[in-house]
Amino acid sequence: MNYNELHSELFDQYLGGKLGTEAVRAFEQQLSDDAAFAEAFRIHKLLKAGIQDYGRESLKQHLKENGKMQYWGDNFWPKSMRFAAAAVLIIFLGLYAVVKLYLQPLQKPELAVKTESGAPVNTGPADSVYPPAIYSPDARPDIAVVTAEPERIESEIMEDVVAMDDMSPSSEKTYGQEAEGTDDAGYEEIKVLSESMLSDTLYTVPVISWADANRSKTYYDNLSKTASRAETAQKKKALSLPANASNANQSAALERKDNDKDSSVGSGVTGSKKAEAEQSSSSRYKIEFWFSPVNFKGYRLTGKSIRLYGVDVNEARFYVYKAQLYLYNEGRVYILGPCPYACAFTAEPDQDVVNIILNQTR
Amino acid sequence: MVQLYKDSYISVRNYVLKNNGTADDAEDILQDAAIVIWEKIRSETLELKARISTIMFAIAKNLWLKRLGKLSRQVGMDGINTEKMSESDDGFHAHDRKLVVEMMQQLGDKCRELLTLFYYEGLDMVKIAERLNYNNADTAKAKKHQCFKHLQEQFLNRYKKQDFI
Repeated sequence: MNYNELHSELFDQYLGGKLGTEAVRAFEQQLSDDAAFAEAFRIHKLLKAGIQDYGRESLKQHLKENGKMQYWGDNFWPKSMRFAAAAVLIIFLGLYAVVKLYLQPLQKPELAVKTESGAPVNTGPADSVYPPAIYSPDARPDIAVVTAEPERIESEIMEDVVAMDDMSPSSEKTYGQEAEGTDDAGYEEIKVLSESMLSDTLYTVPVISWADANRSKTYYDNLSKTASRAETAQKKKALSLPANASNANQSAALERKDNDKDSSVGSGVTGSKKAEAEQSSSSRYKIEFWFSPVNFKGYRLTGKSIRLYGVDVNEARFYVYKAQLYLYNEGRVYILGPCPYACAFTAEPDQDVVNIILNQTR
Repeated sequence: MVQLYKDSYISVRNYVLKNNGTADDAEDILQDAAIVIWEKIRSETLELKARISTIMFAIAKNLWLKRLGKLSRQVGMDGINTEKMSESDDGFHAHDRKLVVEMMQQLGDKCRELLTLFYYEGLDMVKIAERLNYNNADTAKAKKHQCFKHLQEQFLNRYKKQDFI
């Protein structure tokens, strides 16, 4: 049987179902009548099946080469497991960062703030930029303005200042160590970083005498309370005129009474207190106003040297009362104790003392 | 097809490994299942009553069970006879078909590709002419005839004429 193109075309059409009904019937009739035709058809189908097998093998090879999955032995990681592992790793890194930044204390004093327990804690990020305070000499005549270079001024000042346990703060000490040679056992040394001094000066701190305090107290009481009958009677008596005084003497007598009333000593004052009351003194302190990049507000006090952080130079007032140094700033009174490194401001708890100080500022 | 193959890889591999198979068996089964699905799609005889990946897994499962000799019970799935989809019903001897595959590998690349495109992928002559850069469909058709005739001659030379009487 000559195999020709027409037969191949006919076989393909029959196998592809592209022959009409009549043609199919004729084709099948010829298959049954012509053995050679049938054999040629059978060989055509076999070759076609073999070609299709070859096509499948090629496709299998293509899938094998391009669809290969990465795996290691019998344990391979599908994409979902890899994503899960990456997510776990990211979550772990995030938790580590949170613990490191927010739960563990940082060694930066400018981040410390006052807490109820009195011990400074660390908070907030560092490196905030604040404009330095503007210092006007005209606004503070009681302060001696120092305009020279800090290094030179410091050497000149220290000759006049009585060194009393003036410890040089060490910048090498780390967080967690106890302060040495001070009474501030409750405060821990904090490593000081990134500070700058705005200005420094010599400050004359007035010492509040007992009389000043008493007058201040009485004055304050008169502002808020009604005077008692005894005080009222005492005033009347103090204001009463001698029976035999003339008009001229009466005015003189009244003037003398007023002067006596304004004397520094009130009733009930003993001789020792009178002496104390008449004593007036002041102390000279070296005051440094410093800038903290993260708005730290506190101080450092060593002997006669005070370093203030976050305090407006125009608002600060210092007073010594009963041998204790106080700072008045922005309407509040803070007690300043020895602090060689950095301490937060502590408000004076005694309201009477606060009133005395406040009255000095009026 | 490659993406379908990759998406079904894990499930088929796990199934075969759990049923006395190896990783190579799993790959082989998966490739056979992918081919079955592809041929059904090409011939427009695929009954899509579920997700294609589900059908893929079911076919692979049946192929593996068949290979293990456990196909006494059919694994049906919502009316889809996956067993039937995995059988071959040409009726030719495997040896003869394997011989034709060998003859195909001895053909030239262009003849091999042309015959595969026409008889396996089912493309018409117009598309074949475009893919293989022939002038027109008639040229491609004539070329196909030449390649098929050459394949037949090679195949018949391997057998005596009396084998086919």
